[in-house]
Amino acid sequence: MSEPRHTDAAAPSPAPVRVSPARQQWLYARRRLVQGIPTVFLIITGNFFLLHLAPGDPADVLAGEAGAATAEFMAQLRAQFGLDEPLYLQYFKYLLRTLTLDLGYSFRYGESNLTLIMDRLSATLLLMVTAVTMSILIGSVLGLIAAVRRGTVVEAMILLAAVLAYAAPTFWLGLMFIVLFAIKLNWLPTSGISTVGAGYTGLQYALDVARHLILPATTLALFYFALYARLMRASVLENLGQNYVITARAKGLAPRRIILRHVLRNAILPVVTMAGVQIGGMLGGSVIVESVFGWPGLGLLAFEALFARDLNLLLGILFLGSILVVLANLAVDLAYAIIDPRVTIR
Amino acid sequence: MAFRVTANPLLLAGTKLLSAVILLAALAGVLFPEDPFEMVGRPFLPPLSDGFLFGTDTLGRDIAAAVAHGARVSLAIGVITALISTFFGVVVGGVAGYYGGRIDMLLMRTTELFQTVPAFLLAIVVVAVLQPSIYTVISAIVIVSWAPLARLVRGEVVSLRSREFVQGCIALGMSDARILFRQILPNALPSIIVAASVAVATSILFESGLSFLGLGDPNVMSWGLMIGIGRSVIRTAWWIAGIPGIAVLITVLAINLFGDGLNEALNPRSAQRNSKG
Repeated sequence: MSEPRHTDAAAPSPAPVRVSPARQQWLYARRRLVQGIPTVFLIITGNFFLLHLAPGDPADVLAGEAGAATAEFMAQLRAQFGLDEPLYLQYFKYLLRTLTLDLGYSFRYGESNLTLIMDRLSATLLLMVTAVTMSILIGSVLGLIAAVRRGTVVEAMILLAAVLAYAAPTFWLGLMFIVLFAIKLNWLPTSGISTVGAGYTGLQYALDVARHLILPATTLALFYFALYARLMRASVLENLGQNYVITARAKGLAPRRIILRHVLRNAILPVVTMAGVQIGGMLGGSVIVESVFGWPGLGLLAFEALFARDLNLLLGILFLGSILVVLANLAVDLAYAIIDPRVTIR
Repeated sequence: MAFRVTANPLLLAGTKLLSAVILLAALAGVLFPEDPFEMVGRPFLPPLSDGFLFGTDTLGRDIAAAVAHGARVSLAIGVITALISTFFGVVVGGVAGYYGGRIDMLLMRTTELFQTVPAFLLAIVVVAVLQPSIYTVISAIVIVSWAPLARLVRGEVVSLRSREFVQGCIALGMSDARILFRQILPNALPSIIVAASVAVATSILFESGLSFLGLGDPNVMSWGLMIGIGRSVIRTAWWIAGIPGIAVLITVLAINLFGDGLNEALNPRSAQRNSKG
């Protein structure tokens, strides 16, 4: 019984063939996409199980338990799902429908679930990209400062902020931000994505959205900021003891230059890896942040679906959300290879 | 593996804070013998009102009583889910790391899957499908939190498995289960204990998030539920949502400090690598 990694290492490596970096990246991306296929199948299978676990038959669930569905629609659903057929056939049909992105119809909204989800996707993407960028930027900068100013009050303050942000429940933090910045100080809007009825266009509209974005993005970013600041600090400290830093010092490079040109680039790698791993977690967190701030994205849709007991819509959001994570992980892997040329793409 | 608690300021601070929360939970029934759902005063009394340290909520329920009773729920759910998640993590990670090969690949792909799916969204769907109750909340949190533990345990087992004492056990003809559970896992215990303590903190955050969305057990007074109640009156009475949130923050902070301190005490080498302190 040998360790798989050993056998991998012992396997003869194929003769090196010169391939252009762009082609290499494409090949890598394709391989990762292929690896994502079983994941998609398993998620659909999980969703199918959940549908059957719910009380009542899946037709009740699919109709959204809204009581709004007509008897004909229910009969049609039962026929469409073949609920009298054996389970494996039902599963096969469900698989096929989901793979063709037929996620069903929402009685509550009078709209197909796919349309509903796609309409909300851009708002969630805007929120996530802003929050990820904020958390990585602020986290790395403060982590770097904490490492460089080790043993000072500055480091203690940064670590304290990180520990507190790491322990605070996101939704509560969001509510307290609303109390402070929107209600007491009246600096920022409490909710929504833009001022209703203001009729802004162009730049004015973009600025309006940006003002609405500040609180939800900060709320979502804070937890991850805490994690990245701590990780960055540890990573910088570890890098400072490396031989290449000693060499750079011996060459007489200015400390500032060593930190910014050499250490920063190496130290940020674990942060990027971690950020990639946590995209799924952040998408989950956006459900709660969006419902606190009334941000009209996937999370708020999930929240609304929850209250309408529209389980099929919820399952659709879970499915497309997971696919989003698979794609985002791929993007992070590619970004990683660009930051660190040593990462060989195979 | 003796260590002095007092020599470790993180562990000391964490232990003190955590003991305070545990004490509050233990004494909830003595300090506030009435049902925390009981309406005992005028609604919307601000904190430090006569007889109500933290004021009252929208229906005139005592917030201090609810915070104390909520501590029981949060701690109980946190500890139970962390124990169950750790159990699954140890079994899955242990088997994957010990046997390697195909089983390993299959199990690790499964854990990857659970780490890909947006955790909180999955928890919401599970509770929504199975109807909210304390059991479904616990199941949902376990479903979304066992995977990182399994990865950790696998990593530990893989590195221990090739060590000489394990080879010795194999040569002696010990059974696989005995080697794994009696020889390998005890050596991985420090890391597992630290990870499990962190899992208690994340479970508490998950539970409060679920009950904030109205997916908690409606018959149980929990901190998330209280924040959810206070949400609609946040403009006029911030404390109804604010105070239970501070309770969550303090508890999670205490457990995290305790976990960090424990890590430094139990895994001095890895802690040094991580903090250089």
